[in-house]
Formats: sequence, C-alpha cells, structure tokens
Amino acid sequence: MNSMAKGQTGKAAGFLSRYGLYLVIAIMVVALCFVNKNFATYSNFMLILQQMAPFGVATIGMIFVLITAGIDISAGRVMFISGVVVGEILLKLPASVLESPFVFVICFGAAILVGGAFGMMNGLLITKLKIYPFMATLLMGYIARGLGLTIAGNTKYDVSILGTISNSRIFGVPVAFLIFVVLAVLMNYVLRCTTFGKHTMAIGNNKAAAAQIGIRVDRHMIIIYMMCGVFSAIGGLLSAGQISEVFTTFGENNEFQIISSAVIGGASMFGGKGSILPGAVVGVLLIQVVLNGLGMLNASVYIYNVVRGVIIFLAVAIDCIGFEGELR
Amino acid sequence: MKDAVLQLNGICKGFFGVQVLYDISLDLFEGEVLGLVGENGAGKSTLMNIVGGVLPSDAGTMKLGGREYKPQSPQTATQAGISFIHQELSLFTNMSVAENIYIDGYPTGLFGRVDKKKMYQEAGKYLEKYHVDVKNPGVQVGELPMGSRQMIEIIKALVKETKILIFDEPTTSLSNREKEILFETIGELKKNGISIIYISHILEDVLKLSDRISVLRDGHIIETKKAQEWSRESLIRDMVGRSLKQVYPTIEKTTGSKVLYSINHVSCAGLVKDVSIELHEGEILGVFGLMGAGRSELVRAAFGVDPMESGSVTIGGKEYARPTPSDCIQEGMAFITENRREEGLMMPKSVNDNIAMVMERNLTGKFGVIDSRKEQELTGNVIAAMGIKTADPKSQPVNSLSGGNQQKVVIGKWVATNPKIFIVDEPTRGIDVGAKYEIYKLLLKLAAEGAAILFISSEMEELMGMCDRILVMKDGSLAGSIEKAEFSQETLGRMAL
Amino acid sequence: MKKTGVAVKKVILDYPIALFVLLAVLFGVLFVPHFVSVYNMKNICLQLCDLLVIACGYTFVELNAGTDLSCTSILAVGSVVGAYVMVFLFPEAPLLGTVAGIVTILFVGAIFGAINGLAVVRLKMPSFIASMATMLIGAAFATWFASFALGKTSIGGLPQSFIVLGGSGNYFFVPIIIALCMWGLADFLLKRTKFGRDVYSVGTNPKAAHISGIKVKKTVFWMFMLCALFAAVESILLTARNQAGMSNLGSTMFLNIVSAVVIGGTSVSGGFGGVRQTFLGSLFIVLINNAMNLIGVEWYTIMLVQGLLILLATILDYMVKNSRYRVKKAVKEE
Repeated sequence: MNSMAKGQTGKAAGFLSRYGLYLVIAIMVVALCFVNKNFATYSNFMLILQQMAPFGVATIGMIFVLITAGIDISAGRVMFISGVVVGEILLKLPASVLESPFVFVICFGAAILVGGAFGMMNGLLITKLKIYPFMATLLMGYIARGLGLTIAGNTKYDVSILGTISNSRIFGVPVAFLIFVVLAVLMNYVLRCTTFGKHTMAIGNNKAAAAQIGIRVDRHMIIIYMMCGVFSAIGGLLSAGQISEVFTTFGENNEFQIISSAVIGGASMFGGKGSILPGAVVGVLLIQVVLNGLGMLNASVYIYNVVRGVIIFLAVAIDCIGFEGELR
Repeated sequence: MKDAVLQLNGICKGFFGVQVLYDISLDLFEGEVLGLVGENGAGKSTLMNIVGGVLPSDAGTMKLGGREYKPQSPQTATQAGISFIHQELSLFTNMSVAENIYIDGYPTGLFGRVDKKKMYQEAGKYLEKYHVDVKNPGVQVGELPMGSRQMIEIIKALVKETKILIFDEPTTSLSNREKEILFETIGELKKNGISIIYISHILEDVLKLSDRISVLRDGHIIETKKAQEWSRESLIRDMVGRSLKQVYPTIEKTTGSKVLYSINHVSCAGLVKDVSIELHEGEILGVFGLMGAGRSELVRAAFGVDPMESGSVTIGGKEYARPTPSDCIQEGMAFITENRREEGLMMPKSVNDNIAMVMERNLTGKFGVIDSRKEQELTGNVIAAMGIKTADPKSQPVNSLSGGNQQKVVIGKWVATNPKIFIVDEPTRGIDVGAKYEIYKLLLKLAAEGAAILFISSEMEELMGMCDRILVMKDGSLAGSIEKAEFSQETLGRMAL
Repeated sequence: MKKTGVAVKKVILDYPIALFVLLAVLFGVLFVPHFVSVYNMKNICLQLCDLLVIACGYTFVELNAGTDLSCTSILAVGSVVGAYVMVFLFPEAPLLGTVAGIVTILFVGAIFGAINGLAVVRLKMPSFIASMATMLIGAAFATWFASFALGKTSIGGLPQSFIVLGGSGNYFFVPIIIALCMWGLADFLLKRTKFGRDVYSVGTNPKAAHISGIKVKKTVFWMFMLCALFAAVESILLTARNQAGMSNLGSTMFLNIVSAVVIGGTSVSGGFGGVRQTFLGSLFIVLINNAMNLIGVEWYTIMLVQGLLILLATILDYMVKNSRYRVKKAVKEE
C-alpha cells in the first residue's frame, strides 16, 4: 500500500495545488458573507475558531499517521472512551479536588493515558500482526466504543467543569483555539525540524530504504499511533467541554472529518506528504467554515452529513489520482 | 607497497545446498579502483552483500584496515567505513538533498532541533567539492535528475567518512554527460584516498576506470590483474569461457516457414527501443543479453503485462496494438515470467488451484459454470505428464514444493491450454539439474509438435544447447542474431557486452 | 456411526469455526434460560437469515481484502425509497407495487455497487474510503428523504404481498427460503463458476491472475456490485419484516457483518474463505448475541466481546498462515 502519487506537472496545476485551497476558502467566505449578515461578525468568527479547535488537535495526530501511509479510524471512538473515563473520574473525585485547578491535570492526564493505550494497541496490531491499518483501527474502534459504553451504561456524563477551558476566552480569543495553536506550533516544529519528523517523512516515502538506513520502523510506527490516540483524546476532551457532556454517541464518525481535514490540508493517504502549518489549519478551517456556513443557511441536519460525505469523497479522489498500486 | 585496505580470504557462500561462492580471495588497496566483472549469476551481488553486511559468509575471513571485519548488518558495515551504492538508490524523494545526506545522523541543536543552517553549509561544501550540479541543498530530491541523485547518494557515503565505496551498475540510468561527471568524481575520490569497487557490465567503462580488474565466473575468481593487461576480448573470454557440462536432449524437429508470432517495432519507455522479432512454427528462438538489456521488459510489454509505448504484436495473423494477457491467451499464447513466486504462482494455494488458473477459461460452460470433472481430469493429466511430485495436489500449497516442481506447475498450467506460442523467461532459474533436463525435454517436444518458443535466458550454454537461433539484446535494442551453426560463447559475449 | 465421526472431523478441520458453533450451542443449552424454547429457536432462525444474506454479499468484498462500509446504508436507502415507491406511487396496485418496490430496492443497491466499484477500479481509491463516503451520503440521504421530504420517521402501509417476504404469520418460511437461496447462489458463484475462481485468484495474487488472463478490474468491480446487490436483497427482507420503510435500518449491523465473515474464517488478507464459512460465522454470531441477550448482557458489551473475538480470529489467522509457511520452508530442499 506504499506507493508514490505521481506529481502534477504544469505551472497552472502547480499554482492551483499550492494556493487552490486558500482560493476556495476565500470564495466561500465571501459568498457566505453575502448569504447571511451574521456570518461576517466577530463573534461568529470566534465561534468558528472555537469549534475547530478540538478537530484541529485531533488532526495533528492524524497527519503523522497519514504521512506514514497509515490511517486511524478509531479516532472518534477514542475520543468517546477518553470522555467516558474522564467522566467516571469526575464522578469519583472529592469536591475539594474538583474545585482546584488540579482537576484539569487529572482529566487531561487520564485522557492522554487512555488515548495512548489505544494508540499503542493500534500500533502493535499493525506492526506485529501485519493487519492493515484500516482493519486494525476499525477493530480497536469497536472495542473502544464497546468498552466505553459498558462502563457508561446509559449515563450521560456531566463534564461542564471542562468548560472552564473549552469555553472560556482570553481577550476574546477562545482558549481552546489557543491550545490548538500551541500544539500545532509545537508539532509542526517536531515534524519539520527534528529527526523524528524527518524519519516519519522517510518511512512514508520509502519504508524499505528507511529500514535499511537503520530506522526502527516498527517502533516509530507504534509511537506515531500512540501520538494519534493521545491527540484524539485531548481533542475529545476539548469537544466534550464545549458541549458540557459526554453522551452515548459522542465522537461517532468524527474520524472521517478529521481525515478529510488532513487530506484537504495536503496529507496524502499514500504517505510521504503532509504538513501541520499551514496544512492542518487550512483543512480544519475549511471544513469548519463550510459547516458553519451550512448553519447560517439553516440547512437541515441531513445536508450536513451529505456535505461531509461529499467533501471526504472529493478530497480523497483527488489524492488518488496517479495511484498505481493494487486495487482493493 | 601499500597495505590492503580490505582483504577477503577464502569466502564461501551457499543457499539451500547450492554453492554460489567458492573460496574467494581478494585484496583492495587504498585509493584504487578495482573493477569486478562477471555474467548474471556469477556471484557479484552475493559477494558484495557479504562485504556490505547484508549477508553472512559461510566460511572465510575478511580484514578491514588490518583488523578482523565481520559485519552483522549494513549499519555495521557503514560504520566501519564501507558504503554500497546500489542500482536502486535509497533516497527519499520527498525530502531535500541535505536532509537525505544526513538522514542517519542529523546535526542537532537545542531541543533536538535539526540544525538546518549547519546541515546546508556542510552539504554545500561537499556539493561544491565534488562539482555536483546542485546549487541549493534545500531542493527536493524528487525534482533532481538521476545523475544528480546518484551524486547525492555518493555524497551521503562520503559524509560518513567512507573509506570504501562499492558501485553496483551505476551508469544504467545515467546520460553520457552524467556518466562523465561520475567518472571525474571517481577520479577525485581516488585522490582523496578512497578505494572503490566498481561493478559493471559495460566493459569499456571498467577498462577505462579501473586500476585492477577481477573476473568472477560461476562463483570463482578466475583472475585478478592490472587493467592494462586486459583487453575487451580477453575479459569476455574469461567471463564466459567454460567447458560445457550439461547434456541437452535432442529431438527430430523442423522449423517451419510460417510465422506464428511477430513483435513489430515495439518500444517501451527508454528500456526497449524499436525491437522486431519473428517467430516461426516449430522454432526455438533464444534471446540472450545481460541484466538491463530489456529482454523481460520487451516480452512483458508484448504480452500486455506492462504498457507499450509504440509498436504492435501479430498473433496468428491478427495484429494487436494494445494487447492484453487475455487477448494473447485467447490467440493461443503462453507466458512464463521470470519470477514465479510473485507472478507465476499463487503461493499459498494448492497445486490443483494453480494448474487450473489458465485452463479454466476453456472449461466454462453455461452461466459461467466450470466443468469440474473435466477440470480434475485435465489437472491430473498435467501432473502426470509434467512429472510433478506432490503428495496431495488438492491441498498441498505450492510454496512447499521444490523449485523444480514449482516451475513445472507454472509450465503445466500453461501447457494445459495447448498454446501454439510460448514465451519463456528464465525457465530454469533456481532449479536442480534433473528438473532442468525434464523442462528442456518438454520444450523440445512442444516445438517438435509445431509450437513456437521464444526462450529468454542469461545462460549462454542453455541457449546454445536448446535453440535454433539466438538473438542478442543490448541496451534495449537487438544487437545481433546468430544461427545454430555459428553458436559460440565468444560471439554471444561480444554482442551482449 | 464411524462414517459420521469421520465426516464431523473433516468438517471441523476444514471449518474450525464449526467447533465454536458447537460450543456456543452447548453454552446456550446449558447456561442460558429460555434458550431452548420454540420461540427462541424461531428467533434465532430469523436472525440467522437476516445476517446471512448481507454477510454473504460482504464475503465477496472481503475475499479481496477490501471492505464495503456502505452496505448498511444500502439497507436504509433501499428501505425508504422502496417503501415510498410502493406506498406513494402504487397505492391502488399492491401486486404491481410490490414488484416495483423490489426492483427499486435492487436498483438502489446497483447504484451503490456501481459507485463503489468504479471508485475502486477507475479512480483507484481504497475501498474503505470510497465506501465510507457512500455510506455517509447514503445514511444522510435516507434520513433526509424520510424525515424531510416525507415528514415521517417510518413509512408504513406496505402492500401485503410485499410483507409476506418478511415471514409474518403463516409465511414464516419465506425469509428462510430466500436466505438459503441467496446463500446457495453465493456459494454457487464462488465454488462453481469461473467468476468465483477469479475472485479467489485475484484475492491471492492479482499480478499472477492478470498474467493468467483473468480480467482483474472486471472481477473487482463485480465483487462490489454483488455485495451491494445482496445488501439490497437484505433490505427487502428487513423492510418486509418491519412492515415499514425505515431510515435507520441496519445502522448497527456492520460489526455483526464483519464478525460473521472474519470469525467465520474468511481471511482478512484475502484469497481464502467463502460463504460456507460465513454461514457458520453468522450462526456463531447469532447464537452468542442471542445467548448474551437472554442472559441480560447489554448490546454494547456484546459489541466489545465481538470486537475482541474478531481480534482473536485475526491473530489466529496470522499465526496459522505463518506456521504454514515456516514449517514448509524447513521441509523444502533446493
């Protein structure tokens, strides 16, 4: 499944591929401004930033996975089970802890552990048992959801306490968005400026050569999947805080949106490509603007899903041009 | 008298009971270029893999700089100062030149930060020193032409303070200009005290570049002496000259005049250049050439497995500009590829499943139902006729068969459809002597019954023993054609090299 | 007596899942209250039929190590569109309406199958992305169509001749016959036709298949088409059973389908398996689902258990494949 997508030739195509997305966003923004006066307001803009933050964080982890030509479709369900675990913990904590800022450390710490555990399982299944990433993460997704629901039963967890982070603003800018920015800058640095990041790109481009050079591919891949799990979990907490509760279908199908964001932002499912700045930001932003715009148009719920499906299909179809591998 | 930088003594290696290297002893001196020549299968790759740490030797010792050298892995070899430039470069096209050069050891600063500035500076120095046509170390390798990419691969080795560079067929994808630059670079490397082992089948280049040349044949070092003491003819003679040991079956047959199959001016993407072949009824036509000559590429395109840039094939009078395997099979053709494991067999499947693969099309009746009784009958016949040794053809997976039996399954699956035109590519590779003879017998029988066979092989002896006529391919074109009466090793070698 | 013993042993060796089916039956009989009642047996029968049809279709796709996430959406879309056709377009002609309904649902399946197949074969998209997209769009469409366009959550009032297919009252055997026929058809296609052989060959080694003259693209396309068509038949069955077109039909079935196929024994890496395995796998899933339900285990815990079982099956499959190679390599001499 590791194949290089043929590059595009021609100046026009090159220009489009580099700046096309910004063009699309610009056109959409302008169009939406005309459609609904409320779109172009400061408060709406901040809302967009706040809503994109959880997906942005999750996309950061997914991009590393995509660069290695892998995929993680358990992301949404990992969000769910981390939310459940945190919810359970919140129920059991004494009031004194709940009122201290220490509670945030516990919550995010727990989420990181859960996400990391599932990510590690994904990594092990893919590297040691040689299960296709899609299948392995599909399985772990079901296990995560099943486990989460078994723990939760029918309870909806009240995590409004996380709202302190997810919903608050500093100088009008959503804290959640700031968290996303910090993580994005940090991981962008890791991807572009550290040996780890370079090795990730190498593995995605030519796995055999990477192994020959001495890179410990299996170990690297496991770490990457663990990272994806961790970022999904963090994103999940941010999202839960925004809606104040973790309910039974929390996180369902989120992975598709995350993957589309990454692919729109430049990552390829065939590996070797991808960036966090500006890629992840652009991708997540674009989808969020579309969804926000649909809300402005008072579109029904179903339209949302159709549009999401179409976006995924288009984003990936364009990515697949030039793929010369096996058809499955 | 300089001391040898690398000393090989009595290196032996065998695979699955087949001996590949016999008692190899070689010396490599500082700052010299040692050319290594030999036919396909002579053992060059195996020997270099042992030196490069990819494979362990069965016997013998190696000394590097006077000290014992026994590499456990390619990384150990690299650390010891030996770098291997393979035909397939191990570069990452999605990263920059500098990033590729320092891939296994980035200069780092604070917080593990890759020191880009330092990296670019150092890379730039090397690029300049060796006159590489790359001004900006930040350019992506994917955008560079092959010649530059190869230079990057070389710089990669130099940066690690390599003392010995091994080149394996380095000029196959290079333009003439790039080749000249490579040779100049090698000259520079020599001046800096680096030793080079240069493996190539282009004898003119080897004679020009090398200080000394070693000839490898059938796993033995025939001779090592100064380049000036060789000539192209003497090299060829030593590379191919051998006493013909294998006995070949004979059969009464005549080559008809009817052309059953022709390849018309076929070209493919730089690997095959305007080749035309005519195949007659009852004829066994050999195609000889070295690796990279384009023989396999030609027939793969002719059969429709890989795309053809231009040209066509004519099968039984019908012309096809874009043949597909299905079309060819329909017209009565068979194609035995050179790698049975990847393309000839379904390894985990049973003998019966494999044998039935092509014949199924003929056993299909209404609603696509397969006549399984007939199928069983035919399969049984094939197993008996080919002499395939299998305990339980219905369930024994072919990956548990010996190489010879596996090849018989491949041939059997095609023979079952009674084709009139066979293309066989290295049909006896990796097979024991007994099975080889049986396959030769079978091919002769088919030809005697009127089939036409296109026989591709790297073994001269085999072709001379089996064929009525031999074509020689070199660098994608036909270099010559030899009738049976004029078969000789030297002629074949001369045309191919 | 000895002959049956040998036969049983052979079945278990060929289909190891059979052993687990027996264990599940044993478990149910011994430990689960009300397991062995007529009512429960009827239930198990119907549930088996429901799972079997769509799982057989999915087997085609799995044999090439692909996936079709949209098969559940086909259930929903087929259901609402078919119901619409029958109730709104043919209100006065129940028999004609039934036929039209069936044709419509099959047509819906064909559309999904064609999109999935073409996306994989022409656009070279990985099947999980293509089918994921069609799944999302389909699910959204179904919900929109029912709730928005028609203003209902379910479309009732289906003609009696259609409802019969679901097996109510005296027509209990109808779905069983339909399911067995579909299973038989799938088995026939896989084991007795050239197409079936091609499916196995392509799933094992597409390059070798191509060189042997098999039309790989055509075969892969039809794998997706058949999966979708079987899902459409399933949609007919379920819609008839529920006596209404429902926009959330089968939304939770996907895990059961994959479980039935994978645990049944069709390898996730393709080339091995078939609908006989899927039959046993479906039986196993239905039995443990039924047993766990009766004991009082929640649906999500059952989901967890199934996920773990698939994991176990994949691990075993990997180990078996590896040991086969390893042992044989040692024996091989060359």
